Amino acid sequence: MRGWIGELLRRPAGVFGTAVVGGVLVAALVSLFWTPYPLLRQDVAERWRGPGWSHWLGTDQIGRDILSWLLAGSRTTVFVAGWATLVAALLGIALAAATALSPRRIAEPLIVLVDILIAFPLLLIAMLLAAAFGGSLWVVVTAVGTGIGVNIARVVRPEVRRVIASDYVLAARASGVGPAGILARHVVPNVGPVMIVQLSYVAAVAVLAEASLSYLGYGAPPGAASWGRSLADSQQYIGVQPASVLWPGLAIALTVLAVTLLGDALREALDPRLRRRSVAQEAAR
Amino acid sequence: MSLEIEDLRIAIRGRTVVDGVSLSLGDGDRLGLIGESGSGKSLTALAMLGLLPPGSTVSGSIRLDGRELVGRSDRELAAVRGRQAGIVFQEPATALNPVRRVGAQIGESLRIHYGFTKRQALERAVKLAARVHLPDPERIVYRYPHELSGGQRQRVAIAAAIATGPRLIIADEPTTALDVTIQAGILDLFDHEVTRSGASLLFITHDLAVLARIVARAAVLADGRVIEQAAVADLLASPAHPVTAALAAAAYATSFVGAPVASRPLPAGTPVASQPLAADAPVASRP
Repeated sequence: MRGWIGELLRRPAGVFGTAVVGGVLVAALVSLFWTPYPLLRQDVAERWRGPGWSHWLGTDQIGRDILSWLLAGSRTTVFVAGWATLVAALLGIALAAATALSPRRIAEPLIVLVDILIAFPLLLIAMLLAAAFGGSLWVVVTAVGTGIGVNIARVVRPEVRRVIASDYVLAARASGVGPAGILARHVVPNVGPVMIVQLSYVAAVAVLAEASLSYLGYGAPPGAASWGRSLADSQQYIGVQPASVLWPGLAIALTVLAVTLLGDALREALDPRLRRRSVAQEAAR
Repeated sequence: MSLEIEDLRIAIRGRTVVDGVSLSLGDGDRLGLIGESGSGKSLTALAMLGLLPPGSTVSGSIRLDGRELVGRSDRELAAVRGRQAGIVFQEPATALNPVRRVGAQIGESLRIHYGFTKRQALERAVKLAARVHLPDPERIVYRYPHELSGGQRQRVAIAAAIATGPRLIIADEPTTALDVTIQAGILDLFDHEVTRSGASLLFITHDLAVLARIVARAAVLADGRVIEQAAVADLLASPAHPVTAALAAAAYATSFVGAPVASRPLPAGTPVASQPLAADAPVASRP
């Protein structure tokens, strides 16, 4: 694992991903304490300003500062992406472990269950949940977390089985490595990179799902700062001020792209087989 | 370390694959185990370490220095594995974990059985790498398996197997997946290490010519039974069983090029292990 940060930052995708994801995280943190303008400040005289010195990204239809709302909206994004990833990771690992390691009579019903759950589209689950419990961010977290959690289980399970059946695990057992050692030193390092890609996918889907559901009114409650909600609000006035749609849209697109690229770059950085070295670098070692 | 196998029977999901094998190997002795694919030789080796696939049943007796191994718990067997007995497998391409550095894999059994720290294990791994003639030992321990050649990987596997100084070394077709020129180096390494450590060696192969280079005595396995047990020279010169005859003929055909069995009688009293395999087979100490 040594030097994986260096490996990560040697890749353009890694640099871009780290920068944008880091930027969103910082924005979310900063917006807790400070935004250029108070969120609730409305100044009708200042409405429909284009980008400028007083309002960097301009103002909306009731004179609110777009940048302030984007910064505050990143909190929602980070919140949903973070929780959804955690839920998906825990559920995915638990299901993958249960289906890969337990005896067949326990594993097989679970596999069937996973297959059934995979068949449900994410947004459908979310809308069903929202219809039943009312729209909230937790609906998004639950829908994305479980929806992709079962997907993770589906992808990770065969990987775990492959590693357990491998010659090197047999060789490790022949050197006296116990079950815990096999799990920690052989299964986790080999399955980890696959897991990371899956988790970055969860995060990306969570960002998108939050935006879509908030846009549709099933996610962030009215009045809350959310990129999807900003998009829905400004979209009504697209004829008046087309640029105002651009900013939340750009924020969503860039974040999703960055999270995905970061996941790919992380996997490459962590998996020694994927590290590309030129002949010259090889000779210099 | 002495090894006594008596009437070993292994069944996998009800199908008998090893059917009453008895072998004995004295302390510091070498024994070859030869047979065609599916004759049960690898399973015999795995049974010794309790590493048979799930669904297998074992009966009979396997004693290491008089201690019975059949029926032991996994935990008890784990104490034997890698400490008293080390094993080298056939396929160097897959026997090493692709995402762990070579040094960590060589030193693994030392960390498990002797409580070495990461650093101590790595220091010892460098010494072991040098002992198995890996080039540039100080740096190669930081490499990953895919950066090594097949022969080098097999040397890593051997270094890992001998790390704790086991009294029994099991080699399960360790040269089968390698080029002929690399094979010679690996065989020399086994020969040297076993001589040096005084460990017992059980060498499994399907190639009588390979066997002739490293052991003097061998048991021939067919359909899970020992059909013949004799000096390798005798197996080559006067096979008693058709399966042995076929293995001997194959050995001549592939290694004693152009010399059919009948036209190349071995001079009486010549130990086969001391004869060169073929004029053009280089006996290199390095790949």
